[in-house]
Amino acid sequence: MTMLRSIFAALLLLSGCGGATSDLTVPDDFVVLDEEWEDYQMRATNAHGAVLGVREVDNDVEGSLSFWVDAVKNRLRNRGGYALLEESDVSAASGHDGHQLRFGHDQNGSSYQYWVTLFVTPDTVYVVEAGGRTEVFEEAQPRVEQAIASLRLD
Amino acid sequence: MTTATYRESMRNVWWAAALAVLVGCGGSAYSYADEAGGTHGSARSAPSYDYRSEGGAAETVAASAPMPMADMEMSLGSSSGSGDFDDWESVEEEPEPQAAMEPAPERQQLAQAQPSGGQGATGTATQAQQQQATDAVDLSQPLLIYTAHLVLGVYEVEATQEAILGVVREVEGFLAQRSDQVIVVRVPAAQFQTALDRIEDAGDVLSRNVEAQDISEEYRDLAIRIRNAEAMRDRLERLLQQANTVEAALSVERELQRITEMIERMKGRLRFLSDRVAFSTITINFRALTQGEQINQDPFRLPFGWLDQLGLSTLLSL
Repeated sequence: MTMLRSIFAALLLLSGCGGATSDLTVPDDFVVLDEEWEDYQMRATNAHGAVLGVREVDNDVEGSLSFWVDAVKNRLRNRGGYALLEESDVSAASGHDGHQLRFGHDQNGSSYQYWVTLFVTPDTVYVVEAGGRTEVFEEAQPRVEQAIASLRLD
Repeated sequence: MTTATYRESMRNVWWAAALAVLVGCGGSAYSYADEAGGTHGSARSAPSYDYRSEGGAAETVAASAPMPMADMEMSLGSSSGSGDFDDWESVEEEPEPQAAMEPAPERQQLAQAQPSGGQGATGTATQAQQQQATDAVDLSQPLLIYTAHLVLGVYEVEATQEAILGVVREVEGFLAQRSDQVIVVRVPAAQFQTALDRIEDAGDVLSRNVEAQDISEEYRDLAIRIRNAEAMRDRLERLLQQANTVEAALSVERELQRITEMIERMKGRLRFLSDRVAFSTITINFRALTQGEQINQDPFRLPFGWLDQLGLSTLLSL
């Protein structure tokens, strides 16, 4: 696996996000898109359309992991038309506990998979998103799981 | 009539009498006492007869119809009798303690001996899995059959079905039936609530109906009836060994066959109940929701803008 490290500290400092940093090893067949995204600290994609994204959001309200999990779940299920297919506890490489929600969604006649994995610290909510058309995403799934497990939070 | 002919004729009369008493004149009117000391049975007006089995326990068998020999009270004198009617003797009715009527431990295990083997050809559970769960029936607790019917609104029926089957596998349940819009799953009763909660999370619950049926009394009664019937079958078998005329043997055999069939039916019912207690049944009807259809029109919205940005549209817009 080509180790492409995405270091976001500088970006975060520039954008005034309180100094939170994350580091995630993307899969070999993914490329990190070298652009400044308004919503994401990092996005990576493979050639077939499976996409990984990392958001870092200020946890000003000091919400717990369960609070944000419920918030995301309700938002996507009740307002977004997503079906919650599976959920599980996960751990980051840095030892932080997180929770993963796996949704299904139909869009333009195609079936899509959409994962949201949350890690919460007192200051920051780390949101790792992954998704794509089902047949594409299922092929990439093991590598996406590895990438999420490689996340390090500082 | 010669003396020999007369004796033969009388012998047949005695056989008929003994058989009639044993089987309650062909009716299915077993009378049995429950733990509370009450008595169950369909014939209250007929007299009762006590039979002492080899082990000393007594079962009460009530005659369901008027009997020519209704005042006859008999007991089997010896298990190793000579085969002559002289081994039968008339005895006074002897009340037995109610405890003798309660199912013996080995009988309590009766229903757990064989699981029903699942409820459908599409079932995916192994016999061992079902056996394990069926063995888990705890007779010291109320026996409850849990069933649930759900209507789930989902955006992806097939994917949601797979997700639910994943949950069912995790709790060591199995699929009983599946069609495009409906699946029926069976889960161990101990995991019923857990499974139900997780299944409900897979979609929007449009309708929910959960029932718990207490079958403790039926189960206990059935176990006692089986025990009584088996004791009767044992006696009939001994009678058959003692029969020394073709007519008597045929008569006992007919009754033996009837009792045996009845025992099998009751055992089948007991196994069915055991299976239903051990495995709860959850039926899920799926209603496919169209894109953008919202079941919960809750106006509440959390004041965190990034939540509204979540979704595939944003993620995949590179």
